[in-house]
Amino acid sequence: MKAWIAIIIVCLVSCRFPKDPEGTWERVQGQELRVGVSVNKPWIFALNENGRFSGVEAKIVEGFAKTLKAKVIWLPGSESDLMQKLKFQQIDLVIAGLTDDSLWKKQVGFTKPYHEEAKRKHVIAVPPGENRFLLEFEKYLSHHRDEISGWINQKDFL
Amino acid sequence: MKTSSDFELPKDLIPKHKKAVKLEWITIFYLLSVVTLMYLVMGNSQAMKTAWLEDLMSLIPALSFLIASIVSDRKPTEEFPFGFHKIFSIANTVGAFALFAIGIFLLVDSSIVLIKQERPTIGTIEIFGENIWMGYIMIAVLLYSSIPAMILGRKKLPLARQLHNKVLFTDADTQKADWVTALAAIVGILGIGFGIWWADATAALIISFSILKDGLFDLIDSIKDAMDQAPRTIENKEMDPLVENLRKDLGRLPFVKEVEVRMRDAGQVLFCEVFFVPDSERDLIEKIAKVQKTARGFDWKVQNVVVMALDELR
Repeated sequence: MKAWIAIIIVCLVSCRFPKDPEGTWERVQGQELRVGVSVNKPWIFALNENGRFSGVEAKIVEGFAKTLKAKVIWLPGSESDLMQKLKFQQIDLVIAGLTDDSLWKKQVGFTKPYHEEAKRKHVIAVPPGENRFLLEFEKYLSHHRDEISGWINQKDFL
Repeated sequence: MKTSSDFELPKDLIPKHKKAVKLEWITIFYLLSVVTLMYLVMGNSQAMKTAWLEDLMSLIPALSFLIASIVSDRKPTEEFPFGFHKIFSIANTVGAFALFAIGIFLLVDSSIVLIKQERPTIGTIEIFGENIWMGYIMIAVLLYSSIPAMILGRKKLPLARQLHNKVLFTDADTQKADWVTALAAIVGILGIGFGIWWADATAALIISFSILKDGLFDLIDSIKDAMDQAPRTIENKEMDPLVENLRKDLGRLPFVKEVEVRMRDAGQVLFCEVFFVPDSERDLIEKIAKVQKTARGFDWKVQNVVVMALDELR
């Protein structure tokens, strides 16, 4: 029993805990961050015809990708289509102006709310069970709270 | 007519009973705090959900012990001539059935999670500016749900034996074994942490099995009880030697030629019927009274004694 506890403690300290079942966090480092986008003004909207997006959530994703030194691949689509892809780990994030009362909550993972407005808690969808990736993303959301609220305050002009 | 006694417990056991009631109140407030905390942190971990429901269910024996304690030593009435002792057996049956049903539900629920390969997503909580993985908080809550439970269980077990109370015994016994559930859930959550997505649902499946097993065995026991099975010791391993001992004792009375005793469990107490063949019909009323007095005085649990004199035992 004591040996087991020792082994567990050593593991918790030595390995990065929690881990991703599909290794999303390690895979995106310096590589590509595949982001599903479903336009939902003012959280996310298409900036122009050549595939660029803006809005609060697009800014958040770009900021997060920067800390990963990863390149954002924007993949526009319908919400249900993107959620299916997210569920099977074919994309890494979905931004669609989601709130945490969304029914997708059971199928994919949600970050904790980055903003609350009119009793609606705004979240971003992550692949289900990729807990390291989620942890790092939530860390980013916590550490950049001021920056994010700055974007939210001028969300209609982004 | 004075068939059932006016009191349920002898004087020396009353403080023990009071202590048991106090411990069950502590249990209820403790369990409420556990259940609330677990609900707040469980997220979408299936193992946490099963452990949570198990802890919620373990409120039932504690509650039924307290409710039954109020009712069980009421005097018999015209409507309930045998008194209210059996309320404990009913409490036992209801609790067992609930446990059994929840066990089935959780088994199916956890299997679905496993088959559909639903992955538990566990986020973080911000404490003093640090983002802490909720898995750690869950483990802490699980430890809180098991260690005090074990201590309470251990304290209640000897009381249950002395009070000959099955509800209390089952409650104490399950609480004492509660660490198994908590450990299984902790292993499940550590499994999630190691990136093994199925660890959570597998732990939930194991916990569901243990709930189902407990519920099933309790249910079988309480059905046997309802069928007036001969009294068994509180651990339910063997027949209560009380019946045979009383029979031997009565057989030693000078005027008793043959004697047979049958008892049934009525919650904390035993209802007793004595059939005996007297040596002669002289002073028969006194002989019957003597047999009844001997049986009543044999053990506090022996109550509601009915004596029948016969010309032969068949």
